[in-house]
Amino acid sequence: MVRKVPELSDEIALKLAAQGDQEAFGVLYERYVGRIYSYIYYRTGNQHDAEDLTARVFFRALRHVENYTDRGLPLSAWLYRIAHNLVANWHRDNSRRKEIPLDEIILVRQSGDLPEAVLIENEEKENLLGVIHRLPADRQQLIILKFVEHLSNAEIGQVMGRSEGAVKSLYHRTLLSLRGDFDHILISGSNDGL
Amino acid sequence: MEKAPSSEFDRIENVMHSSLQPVAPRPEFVEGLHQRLTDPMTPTVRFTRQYSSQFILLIIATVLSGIVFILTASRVIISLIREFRLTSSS
Repeated sequence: MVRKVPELSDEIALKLAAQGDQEAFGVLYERYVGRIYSYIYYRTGNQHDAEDLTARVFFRALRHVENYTDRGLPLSAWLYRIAHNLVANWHRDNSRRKEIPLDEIILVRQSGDLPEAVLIENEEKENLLGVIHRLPADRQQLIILKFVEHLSNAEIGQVMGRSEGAVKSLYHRTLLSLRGDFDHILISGSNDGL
Repeated sequence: MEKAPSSEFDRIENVMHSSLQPVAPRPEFVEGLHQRLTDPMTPTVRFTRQYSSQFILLIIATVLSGIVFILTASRVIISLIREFRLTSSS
């Protein structure tokens, strides 16, 4: 069921929520839950932990909403930062490498595609996600915010606490480091297809 | 900074654009969490500033009493050793 999120600006909803208006907080929640969940899902790789951490993000936001002060950061950046910190703690607590059910993340089959083509494509995607999960945390964050959340470099900078130039530079270095891995992904995918 | 052909970057970006799609949460999860967040009857634990300061005081008191205990115990042990030496020498 998709409920209609009332037309209430973030600023007004925040003010009301800070005064204890839980309905206003509910509006903000509905506005951002999908994005926060998606971000956490890609960082953790499984639905169970993504749901648990998403709930913690919003409970933490609810607890601290009265202390939230507008420092020029959009609310989404604040929520992403909470999510990032919780994911970092989660990774620290689960130092053992988690099994990542990549097939759950990706595979949206286009109707009409040949099964072999779908398999090859899925394998490429699995390999890609494996490569992304091996990146350092800040680079994973950057890739997910850019390609899953479709944020601009300036917005990513707000989330990560870096300048736009620093984000561009980090992105460039990330692409350079991904180059070799991508050759491997695409070559192995095409070999499998032969 | 190392340079790479832009076509190579384009290829990587294209793969990521097509592969990394947003994932929607389960509607039951979204609905359930919404209720938990907005239901005033949901019990929540809040640590007030007063509670936190009491907790810090309790920790300080515990540490101090631990130090006093260790000092007392070490003094008792030292005096016992001295007494044992005196009795054994006499």
